[in-house]
Amino acid sequence: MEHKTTMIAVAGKGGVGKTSLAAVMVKLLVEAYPDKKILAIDADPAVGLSTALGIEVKTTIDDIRKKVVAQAEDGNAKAAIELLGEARYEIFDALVEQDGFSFIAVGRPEAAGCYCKVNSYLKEVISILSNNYDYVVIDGEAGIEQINRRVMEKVTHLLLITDSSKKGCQVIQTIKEVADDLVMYEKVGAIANRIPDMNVKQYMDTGDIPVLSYILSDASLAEFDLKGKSVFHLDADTLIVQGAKEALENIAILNKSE
Amino acid sequence: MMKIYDEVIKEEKKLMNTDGAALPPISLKVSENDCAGDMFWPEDDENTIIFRSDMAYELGGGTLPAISSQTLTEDKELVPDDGILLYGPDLNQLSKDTPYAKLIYLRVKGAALGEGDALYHAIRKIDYTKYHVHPHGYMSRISSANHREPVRISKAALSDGLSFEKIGNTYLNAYKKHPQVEAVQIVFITDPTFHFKALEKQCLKAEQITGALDHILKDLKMDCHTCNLKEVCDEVEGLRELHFQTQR
Repeated sequence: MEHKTTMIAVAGKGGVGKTSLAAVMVKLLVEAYPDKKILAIDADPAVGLSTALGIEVKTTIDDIRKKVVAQAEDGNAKAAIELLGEARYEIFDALVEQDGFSFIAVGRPEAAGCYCKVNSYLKEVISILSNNYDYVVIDGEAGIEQINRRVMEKVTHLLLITDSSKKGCQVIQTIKEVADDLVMYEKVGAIANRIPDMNVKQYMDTGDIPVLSYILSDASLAEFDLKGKSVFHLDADTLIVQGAKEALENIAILNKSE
Repeated sequence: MMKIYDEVIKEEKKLMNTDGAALPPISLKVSENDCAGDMFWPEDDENTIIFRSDMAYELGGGTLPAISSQTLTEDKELVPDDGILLYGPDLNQLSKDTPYAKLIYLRVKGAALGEGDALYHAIRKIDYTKYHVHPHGYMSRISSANHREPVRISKAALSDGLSFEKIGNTYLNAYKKHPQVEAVQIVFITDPTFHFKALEKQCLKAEQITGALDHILKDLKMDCHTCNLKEVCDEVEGLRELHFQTQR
């Protein structure tokens, strides 16, 4: 029987708390499924998931890409199969294997502007690694670029994060429209994060995207962010942990609590 | 024609027979039936990972030697028949990362490899066999740039009976699929006292010879005095001759 990977992508406008939510989801999956293989991918060039998960990154996917490109250009022509072998060799240096989960980061290309080369390599890395895991959580970059470039093609669960702003809600609807054509997702849902109070729910328009949970602004999380502490130290009754748990239950990734 | 690796093979065999190895090798059984029955060992998908948590140890892990090499000859004395030799402990006798070498010696029908560009591509095509062999529980990582090929060994495969005999027969079978290959001798080395430094030097030379062959056939440089492969051609019988034949 073919192995089925549950691939969760977290996307949305910048500044809505995608990274914190992705990190909390990794924590919840590790706690709920200690025997499963879990991979966290920091696909956001802004880089933050590693800090949130308490990981020190030494090599990124972009570092590997540059190394392999340099080898392809060094004058001693290498066949595609050798370069692929090289890339696979290096991936294991970039893959951080922690207790309970693995982690890999896309990194930040030095050249300003275009991220398309690293995004296309990221897609390749996802396809090499993902089948070995039961759960993959991808913290995507803000906006629709990675959806457009089919980096998220094999995502099974698309979680769209918004705050209470009109713009945040519009961005997730745009992402869903693009994803409807380019992502083979099975389920989609929104998480309303950092909302000032529950009364704003009635004003938020997420279109046809069901809202999986509403999470109030959480001062304790801001303190964690400030101190650069890992989400693994967050208590179970923290608002963000409860909200992320509710979302994962509502989209049937976690079993509903008794 | 296919004598270009003969000196390297002789030097490596000398290291195994007299200078480098503390103990004689163990000769492992070669399957006569295409790895069927007891000799059968399943293969994994090329993307299968052995995680650190599932790994018993790594052959050539960290900064330990992780040598891999392929050399070809037409000489029956150098590669008489199919064979698998092991210098050092077998997989089930190891418990931690250890220095490692996997050497593939091939006896080929020289004429069948072709000439010029075809020869280089035939050698490379046979060499790339290593990228297509994925024995279950034996995850090799190949870096041609770093000349390293460490291997992660899984705990589960070890308890299922993974051994160098199974691995050797899987590789042997894969190399025998090339019609030009007449005999395959595979040597595994895990003896930590082996002279890996000296072996590494010879394996690097074999790789330089293949590289020089490509260089010669592409006719990148005509003047030996300005060519950075001069050292290899000075040492390896037949390489320079081949270059000037190609020019003619």
